[in-house]
Amino acid sequence: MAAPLETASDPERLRRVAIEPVTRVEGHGKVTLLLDEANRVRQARFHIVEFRGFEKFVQGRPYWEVPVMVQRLCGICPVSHHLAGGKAVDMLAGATALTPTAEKMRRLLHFGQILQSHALHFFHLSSPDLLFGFDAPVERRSVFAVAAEFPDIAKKGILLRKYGQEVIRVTAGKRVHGSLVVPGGVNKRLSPQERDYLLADIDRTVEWSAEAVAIARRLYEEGRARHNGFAAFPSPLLSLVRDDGALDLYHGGLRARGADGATLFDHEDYATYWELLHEVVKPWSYMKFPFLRALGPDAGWYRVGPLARLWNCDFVPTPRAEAERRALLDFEGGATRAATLAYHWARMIEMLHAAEGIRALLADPDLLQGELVVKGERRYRGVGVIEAPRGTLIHHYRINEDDQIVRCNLIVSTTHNNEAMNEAVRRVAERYLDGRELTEGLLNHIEVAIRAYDPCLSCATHALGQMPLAVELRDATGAAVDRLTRDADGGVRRG
Amino acid sequence: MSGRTFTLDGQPVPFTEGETVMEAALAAGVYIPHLCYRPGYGHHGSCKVCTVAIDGHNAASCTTRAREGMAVETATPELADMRRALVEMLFVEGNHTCPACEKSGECELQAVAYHIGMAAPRFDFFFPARDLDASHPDVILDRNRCILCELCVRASRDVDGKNVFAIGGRGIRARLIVNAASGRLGDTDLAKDDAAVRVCPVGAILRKGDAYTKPVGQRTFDLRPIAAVAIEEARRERERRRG
Amino acid sequence: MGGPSGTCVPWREFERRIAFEDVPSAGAFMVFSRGRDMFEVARNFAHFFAHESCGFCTPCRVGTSLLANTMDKLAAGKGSAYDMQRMQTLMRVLLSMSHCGLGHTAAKPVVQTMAAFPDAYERRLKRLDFEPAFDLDAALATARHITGRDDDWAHIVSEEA
Repeated sequence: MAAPLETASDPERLRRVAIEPVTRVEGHGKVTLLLDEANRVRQARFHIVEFRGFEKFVQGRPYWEVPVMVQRLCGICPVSHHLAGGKAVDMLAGATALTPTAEKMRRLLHFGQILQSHALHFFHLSSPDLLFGFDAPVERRSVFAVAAEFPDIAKKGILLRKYGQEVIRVTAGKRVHGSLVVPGGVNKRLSPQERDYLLADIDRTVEWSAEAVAIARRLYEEGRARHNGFAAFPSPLLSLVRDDGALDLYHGGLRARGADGATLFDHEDYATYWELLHEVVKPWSYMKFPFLRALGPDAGWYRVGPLARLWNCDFVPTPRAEAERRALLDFEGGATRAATLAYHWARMIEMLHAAEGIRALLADPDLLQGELVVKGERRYRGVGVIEAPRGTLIHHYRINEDDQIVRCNLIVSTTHNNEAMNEAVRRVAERYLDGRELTEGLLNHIEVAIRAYDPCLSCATHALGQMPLAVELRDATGAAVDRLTRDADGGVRRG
Repeated sequence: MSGRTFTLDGQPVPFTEGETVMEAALAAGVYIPHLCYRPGYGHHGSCKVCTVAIDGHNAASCTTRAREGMAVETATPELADMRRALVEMLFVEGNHTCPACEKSGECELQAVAYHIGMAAPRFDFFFPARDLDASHPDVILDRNRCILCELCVRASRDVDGKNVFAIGGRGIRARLIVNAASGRLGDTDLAKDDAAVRVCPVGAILRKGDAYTKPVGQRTFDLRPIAAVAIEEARRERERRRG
Repeated sequence: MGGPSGTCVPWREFERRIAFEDVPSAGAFMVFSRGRDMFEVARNFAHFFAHESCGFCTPCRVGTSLLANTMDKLAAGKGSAYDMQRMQTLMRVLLSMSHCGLGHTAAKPVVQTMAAFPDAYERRLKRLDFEPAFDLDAALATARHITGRDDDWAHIVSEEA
């Protein structure tokens, strides 16, 4: 899978790139560029240097701990891991079909997660770039400037996220790291009071989500020439879809389309995902590189997440989000399919879908009554897949006779997008790098491209306001000629 | 009931002959933090968390008989600090990962730590390599979380009549062991409804299938603080004895 | 005087008397020449008590091992003033909360030599505030093994003070 610019000719030099796994928790990314004597970019890499080791330390634990333990992978999308791990554990417990109450409670929790995560990413994290421009002064590119100049947008963004968090709290007991899923079901149903509490603000939430779609769409349209081309490249797309081809974030079969839009596979059972997907390891990143087996390791990389899902599915099963999806697909002859920045627009359409989905679920009496758990015959392999906010999330476990985990494999959403993010970085580096002189603008252009994919490493940005990022410029001998670092507090240093 | 009393932090506490300081205090509605004591399971005195000052000398309140006129102190800053140190010692001695533990919200070690205001342990973690025994069809034994209170040892011997558990090894290498030639829980006659299973105050002995079935917010210590739970438990035990 | 849990009498106090009224003895005593490192004597005793602890009560079972580990940390040149304070805390816990005499007196050799031979301890302190016992680089060993790396960048080297 050697893309142009991925590896310069002399591999010895490439090994000098600094990797310090322990100091790099979620939120640390690193980009390195290699230049030749003519100052041309010969290598551009986006490194994920965090090493979590979850796959190692769940070994030996009883399988029912999985949904609660794995959600500690993340503080932003713990619910996704809770649910994906939970679905794998259902399979281990032999629960083939959940009760209506259990499935709907889980879907409600998942919609809450999609809503809060998408709102957080768009309003808190990305809106400064989109509202003020990539080249705006650093001090203006923060959520605080948005709050000062666009108070209405900022306020609604915060309250949208809060609503999603409240859905999570009511269903899972806590806003972060609660618990709902048990093997074969859930541990609670909604009380009428809890349902009424969520109903109180749902209409407002749907309306504001629709407004958010309009904002994302307007921002995209206003800069259409740049947005259609910025880090734009065709690629295969992967997502779950429902039996009838509808967007389904909680459950479905795997569908992949090629870069040309042709279907590569459809409605495939994710329980044997390894027949469709493989992973390769590269020495310069702790993140694995998955690829579609049908296309091979070089051409088989693909994209997941909001844009991939909306282009992959046949329709969105809630009316207002479906209308917005049509507009996204029809825009300028399908230009958004390859456009990295169209992820923001797609993300807001999914947020609207989540809000509509929550409203529909809250009207369903199954949330208030019915059995919570089904039991079955214990099995030794469990695979759980959901569409997390950032894309397809795969959890895979094997257990022994005593219910202890012996093997675990996780392919998280950000991993699927690994090569796509690298490609985006290469495109931006090629187009915007200005001689040897690295500018703060370049730094932010790279960041804008990475951020569009909402990688999990941006969690720290969510918490601290800025993504810590280092850009190194090296000449052909491998010597660093320039280096810019943005700290977590937003300060930019040279050297 | 001839009005025999001692004082606890200056307040008179009535007691009957033969009662321990702990029993009399709980009957009077005063909670003294404890882990290895459980009403109805005898007097053991190993965790030392319930240590109080009696006429100026420290002693475990769960194993010291009340005497007329004794002056007992429990709410002193010095004792509070020593208690925190003891609970911190228990946390660093084992592998207690509350965030993923199914006993969270039901765990007395966790609840006592909250009650006494423990933050992070001041001691270095041992991170011991301890075994998890999942060989029993209905019960799991996770030694990572065992605090060696011996409640299960007493329950199995005195209530269940089975002698399934014992403490093996000495000092920091002491471990809960089971009564089977193979050393595996699955080869003992332990049953999931045994008192030895129910009595575990931490997440060391757990019934399979019970994990996370209580939603957050409805777990024992979500609803009431451990002081109220312990006082209520002691009241029930007194009523049970009276018949 | 009287074994590891007895009284430590430094040479400055050699005028004291072996008697119930002054320095009581169980009938045994040990003499250490000036050439001996009293820190190492105390560390040896700390390990003795950790080994002898039966493990019944929390303060002695955990406290004696914590004490021995802290002495090892000082011996390795990684001690700090915080460790000295912590040993004082351990001594108080052992003395006031232990079940039996072994725990009560287990910290005595450390505390007494700390008072009588402060130099033996202080020259082993690396920093005056705090030095972690946790070895970041050693903790990375598993990660290095899994990723098959052993280059310079896969190691964390702590900065020397």
